[in-house]
Amino acid sequence: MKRWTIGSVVVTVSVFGGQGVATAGTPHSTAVPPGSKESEVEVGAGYLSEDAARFGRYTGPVESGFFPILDFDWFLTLDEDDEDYNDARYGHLQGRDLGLDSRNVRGRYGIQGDYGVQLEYDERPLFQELDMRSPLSRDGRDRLRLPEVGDVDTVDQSSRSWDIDQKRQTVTLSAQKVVRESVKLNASFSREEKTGRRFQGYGDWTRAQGFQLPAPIDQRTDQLDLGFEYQGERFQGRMGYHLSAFSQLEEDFFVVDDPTSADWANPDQRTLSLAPDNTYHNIHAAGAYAVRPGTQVSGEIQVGRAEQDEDFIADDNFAGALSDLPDSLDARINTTRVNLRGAHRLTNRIRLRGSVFYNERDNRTRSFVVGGRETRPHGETRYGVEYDADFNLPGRNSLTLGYGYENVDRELGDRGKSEDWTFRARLRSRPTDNLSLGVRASHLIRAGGTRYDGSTLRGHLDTLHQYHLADLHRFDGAFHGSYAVSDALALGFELGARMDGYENSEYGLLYRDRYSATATLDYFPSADFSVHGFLTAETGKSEQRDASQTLDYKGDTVTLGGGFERAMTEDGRFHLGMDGLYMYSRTKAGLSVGQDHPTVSSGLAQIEVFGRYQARENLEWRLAYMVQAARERDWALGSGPGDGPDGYILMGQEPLDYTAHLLMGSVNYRF
Amino acid sequence: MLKTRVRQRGGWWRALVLALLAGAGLAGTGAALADDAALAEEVDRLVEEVRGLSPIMARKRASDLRAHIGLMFDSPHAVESDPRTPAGRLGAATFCFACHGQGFEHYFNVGEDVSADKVNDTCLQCHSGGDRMHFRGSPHEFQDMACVDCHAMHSDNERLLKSESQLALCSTCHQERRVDFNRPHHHPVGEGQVDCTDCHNPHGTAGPRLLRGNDINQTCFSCHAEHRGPFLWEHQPVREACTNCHDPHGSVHPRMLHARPAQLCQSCHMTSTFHPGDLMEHDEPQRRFMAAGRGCLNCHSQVHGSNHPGGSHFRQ
Repeated sequence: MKRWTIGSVVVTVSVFGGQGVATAGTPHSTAVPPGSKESEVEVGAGYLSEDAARFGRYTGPVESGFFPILDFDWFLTLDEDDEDYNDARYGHLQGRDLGLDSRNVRGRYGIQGDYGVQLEYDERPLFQELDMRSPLSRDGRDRLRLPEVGDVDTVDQSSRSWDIDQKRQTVTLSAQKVVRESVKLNASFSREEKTGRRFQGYGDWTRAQGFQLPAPIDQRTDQLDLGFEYQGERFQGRMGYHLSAFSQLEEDFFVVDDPTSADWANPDQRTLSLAPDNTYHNIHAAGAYAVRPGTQVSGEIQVGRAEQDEDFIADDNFAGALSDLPDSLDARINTTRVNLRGAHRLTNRIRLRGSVFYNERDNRTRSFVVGGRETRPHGETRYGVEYDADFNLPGRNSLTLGYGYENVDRELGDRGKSEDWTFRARLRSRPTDNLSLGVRASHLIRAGGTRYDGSTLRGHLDTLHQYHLADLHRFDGAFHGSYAVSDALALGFELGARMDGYENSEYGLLYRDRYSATATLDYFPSADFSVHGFLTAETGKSEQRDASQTLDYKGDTVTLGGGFERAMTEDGRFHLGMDGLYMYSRTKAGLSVGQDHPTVSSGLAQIEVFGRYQARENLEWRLAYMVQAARERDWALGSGPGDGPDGYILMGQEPLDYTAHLLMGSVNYRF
Repeated sequence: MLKTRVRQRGGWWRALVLALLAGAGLAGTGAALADDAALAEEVDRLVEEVRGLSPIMARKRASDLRAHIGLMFDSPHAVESDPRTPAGRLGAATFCFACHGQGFEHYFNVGEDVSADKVNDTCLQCHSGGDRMHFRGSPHEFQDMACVDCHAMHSDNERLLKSESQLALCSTCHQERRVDFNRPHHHPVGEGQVDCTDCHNPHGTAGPRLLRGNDINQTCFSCHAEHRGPFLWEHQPVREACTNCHDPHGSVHPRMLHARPAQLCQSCHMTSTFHPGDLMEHDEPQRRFMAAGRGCLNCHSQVHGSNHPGGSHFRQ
């Protein structure tokens, strides 16, 4: 528990936003926790002024009212007469956000250099919308029913409230064992269950009728990792096994009554699929060898298999399609990835690097003709090389030149094969002690627009030149620098540009460009006073075309952030800080013929003030206030039951329009 | 553990003094320091002497040298009972030398008293395995970044990072990420629910973009396994790379898409023959039917793939 702010430079509320708890990708070690091993507990309460799903969508709170604040760190302590006193035994139990929906508890226990065990429980919410409206009611997990009385014209009266939110609950158990100084074993198992509701649409443009529904999410993902690591003076290696198993907690489909049916007492029923259970096995090995000082080779090989063999959904409305298929897909994809890299210091001023890669996704799934349409189990093989040279030039300058080549062969894809050539350069310079500058540029050329050679789309695609089949020229560049005005003040900037041009593209996207400019300021006049700020302006534009007209798209985004923290008293017991954030984005879509689409805009302003007062050596009072205002204009939203576009029943999602205030107070006690 | 650390700290002043004396060429005077008060005074004097020896460090690395050194003894490097650590190899009295060199030749001021290569060699003596295996020749290392650009051995942050959060640290250089994660639709990195290192291994990987999963989709599937398939009906751009449609760092468009759903879909699906309700047509009811709510996903809700027998158009 360190910096105490509501959200630092984030859009939504995170009481302890500065200290991430997510460590899924970062392997644990047996190391003792760094820093002071003082245990501490924090207790308090907060108040949110109004309901706002977006305000705390990843953490809570989202509903107005009071909420508790509870966090703790507890460290194992040993007395001198404990027999374990002299080893580096540690125990750390940590609780975060226990009063919120993003609660996390994790414990670590072990002896540094010997073994470590970790157990973690983590909740991650995703609040999307509160109080949506739909005539559908849940009838068991796999059934969404209409009331028997009602029809599409009176859908307002028949609707009930739905919250659209999801929650991930994850339990992870992992362990490491240092067998000897150079050998370590590790194992990890996690089970994550994700439950909730999400927006889903069902419609038919031939009838111009459809509806939005709260689709169920009830799924589980188990992951197992076993690993062996060796670290020698010149050779390091590791190998392991990874299993990921995804499963639905119940059926892989659900049935929903169609509100666009004429007779709600006997409505049409739609059977909609959920993702089928699947598993992925992966065996991997990697190694690195220092041939001599300045020269190293390293590589990795992975062999995996993804499988899916769920029975097809027995939907009577598709009896014909079912008759074209076996009971299940018996799908299998074999994956092979090989990467090799070498790095060599040729002279004191020249370094070289080269790598070769091979990545195959061999889809062994059968192709079927179902209802007259051919399934396309896509597979692909990628291989290529990368070369780079870094030249340390006189005058504290360095130049990096690089070249890359990638070949992609696709099976049953619209484009069969493509080749990428990339040329890149980067120059870094430090003309003075206080000034550093850098410029980078790259040019990618993609070619090889061979057409899909399957049966069903051939006649159509051969006559078109579409963006995703077109050759591409991509220019990517940036100019950046930083200037230390003094020991306490540093300024930085970055100008970036990326331009994608699709040669021969006549339908769909023709080009897409993006330009950005960023300025930063950091001011640290003393250890007790810090100021930071940044401003970024970004603009992007693109053009799409159909047979008779073009659509020009332009988007602008401005983001401004900054804040300070300062000790307000000489003894450093009272600290005050503030963070502010302003973001505004605007997107325009104009047609070459007729009326433009309305502008879509999104704005957010946030100010956060936080203070802490150290009443005693081990007791600190903390208080924070935040106000967040969000406004949107989005012509695609704002339509509820009975008020949607003709024939389509939405659930009432509105553009953002709220101003929420949050006040939090707590006391932190260390012991 | 606290008591263990305290016990280690109980002797750390003496160890510090010995180490600093040795480093400053003043060994021999420390033995005379008997009581704590005298010790503390001597430490103050020695801190000033070390500052005198290395003005660079005094100016740029440590405004409070005492705290700077003291934090070291709360780090995993100071555990004597672990033979892999500097303290385990050299003992508490002299373990500073393991990294700073005999006689404090450098203070990790990259570009001034030491090169990035020298710093990395020092750290990799012990940390060359595991996640650091592909560090040599990795994008960060090849651009002369040093371990101490991100880590501070005298830090009390998790993994000895220089900043309390990964986002704050990484966005020091990757400035555009600071903006991306403030966009209206983003992965909850700033909220502390996801870390940069959940997807990337900044120490280097054998594959592209420092991705942990070795390619884009495999990385995404570690949290979004429902999209892995294989499916009966597959959508080629989804199979090829999630980033064909999504910007995982953040977007102004819902679901972190590159563009509004209809515009994004019509980047490829822009035909004049298949779909009469084309967004670019001016038939207002048709256009609104396709663009309101989820856009094309109003009907084609299963764009990640469908295993339904009738899912050829990703509707079921």
